[in-house]
Amino acid sequence: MAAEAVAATGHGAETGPGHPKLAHHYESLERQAHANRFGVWVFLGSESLLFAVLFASYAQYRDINASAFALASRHLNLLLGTFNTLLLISSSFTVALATYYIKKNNKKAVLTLIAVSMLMGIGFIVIKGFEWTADFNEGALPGRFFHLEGVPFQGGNLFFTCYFLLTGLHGAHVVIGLVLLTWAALRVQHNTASASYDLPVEIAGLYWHLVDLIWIFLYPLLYLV
Amino acid sequence: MSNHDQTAEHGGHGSESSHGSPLQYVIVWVLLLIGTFLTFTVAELPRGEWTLPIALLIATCKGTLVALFFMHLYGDKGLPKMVLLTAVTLFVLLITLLMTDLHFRFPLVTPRGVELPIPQRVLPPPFGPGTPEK
Repeated sequence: MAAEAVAATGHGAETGPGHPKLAHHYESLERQAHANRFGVWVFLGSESLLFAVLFASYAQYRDINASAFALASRHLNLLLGTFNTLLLISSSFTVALATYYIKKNNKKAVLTLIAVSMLMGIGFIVIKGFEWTADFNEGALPGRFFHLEGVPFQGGNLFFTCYFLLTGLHGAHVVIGLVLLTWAALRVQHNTASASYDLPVEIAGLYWHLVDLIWIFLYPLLYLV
Repeated sequence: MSNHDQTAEHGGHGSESSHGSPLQYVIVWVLLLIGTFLTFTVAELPRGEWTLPIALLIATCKGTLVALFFMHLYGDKGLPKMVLLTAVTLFVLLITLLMTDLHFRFPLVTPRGVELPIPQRVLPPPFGPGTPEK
């Protein structure tokens, strides 16, 4: 019945009632996209506050143990950290390009860009894995397991508690971001996401940018104390 | 009628401008790379009191670029900006109150291991050793 009405009026089939992706409680796809985007932003806001609490505890511990934090930070591999920053920034750039090309309906470009971003994301995880392995081997461990030479136990253990909590939570977000990008790529591949319905790519993109944004702050806090 | 058309056109233009062009993304990407290079340079210099504040300032600039252009907040007239503003305000409040507390709170508790002299109280009669009135 509704489809007939749309056919009779001759408009609205593009973005209005009758579109297969439009939920019945929205009047148009634009409205739906706005609501969805806002929902994703509220989620991203709460995600950033989750990290904010860890940043705050880091700030407090660093304030109390400034010199131990500086010594412990110098133990980290600055080159690998910088390279990881470049990887995430560049993957954020390619994801931004993908959200541009989905609007132009350029399926091949979108899939290539998402694949490149995912490769960089996987590269980030692999490098982080090497860093963590080195930390484990040298005794740069959190809490009472800490036994790194040249760094005082008091404060040094707190730095690595913060380090593993922050990079661990961030790493989990990178993995979730990779899953979301895979999902978006599959939707594009099966033509269930396109210029008229680009939400999957946009959501995955926004999440990936948040992951990048958090790392931008983690990089100086952990590697540059 | 023409008024309605105008608003529709304006709305369309607004959503177009909130999404960047490839050139804009390339510029932002290059700026982010420069920011990372600057941070790395700061890290290689002898580190002092100002190293972390400068690095965090660069990080804030980079984060703003990502939020404005990659996440399309620039030119966005909707609610996402409010969400970000709320999150940032709460974070600033959290850090400010925490740091103020940390630096200006006087010690409220007795440090562990310190014995405080406790004055002996002499209780008045009829509970204590006073002499009862006649």
